[in-house]
Amino acid sequence: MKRVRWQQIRATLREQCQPPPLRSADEFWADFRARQQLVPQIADDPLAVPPRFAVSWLPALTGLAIVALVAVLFTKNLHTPPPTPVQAARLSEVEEVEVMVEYGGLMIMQDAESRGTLVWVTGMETHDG
Amino acid sequence: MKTTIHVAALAAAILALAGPMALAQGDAVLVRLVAADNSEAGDGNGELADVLPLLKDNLRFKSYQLLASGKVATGGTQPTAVGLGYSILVTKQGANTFSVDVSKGGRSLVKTRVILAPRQPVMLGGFPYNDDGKVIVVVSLP
Repeated sequence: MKRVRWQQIRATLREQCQPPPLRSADEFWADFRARQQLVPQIADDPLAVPPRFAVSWLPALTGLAIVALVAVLFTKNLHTPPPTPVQAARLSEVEEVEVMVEYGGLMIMQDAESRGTLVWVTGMETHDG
Repeated sequence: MKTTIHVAALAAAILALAGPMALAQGDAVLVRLVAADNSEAGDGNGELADVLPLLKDNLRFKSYQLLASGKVATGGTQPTAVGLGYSILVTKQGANTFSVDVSKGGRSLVKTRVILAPRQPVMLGGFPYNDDGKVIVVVSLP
């Protein structure tokens, strides 16, 4: 194996890689301004996130949030029992009526609006005036 | 373990206290004696506020006056005098089921069995009062 000396490598590189020719300041800045006006400025960094990939996160996240919201609402509806109808308070009931004296008629009313039950005996004869 | 025992003891104590209170509420019913006639307009000075809508909506008397009011024990065997010669005997037959017997001058007039709901009175009416009036017996849970 032939060993190459470092000085020889350096000399070879200098021969093969010529430095760029020097430019004048006016030419440099004119070129700089021309490049600056190029829109968009795409970074020449291989590690930088491509703009297209970065912009696509916004609709993706929005969609994901909507899906999560719908899933939460759907799950909540599944676990929440349906509202039960308000049950009206039960009225008092008359199971049996026996009139022990002479009478004309008997009426039993349940008034849901006024919340009460009425038993009315007509023509009752109590023989005491 | 100790916490469980303490909680159980506390629950037992609460139940022991609540039991007699629940029974005590069923030991008596509220009885009101109401006179209805056409003498002059009246509404019982607010003491009939809970029953006046029912009375006025279904009967055509000008005046409703509270003659007497009181709690009648449900465990007795003798009628309780409530005024104007009327007596009431209330006997508990179930959780909220009561037999109510109305008598006057020792003579039984009406016997009925009712299931009382809280704040839902039962009115027994049609007993003669003066010339054109009637007596109404209002029974409700206290």
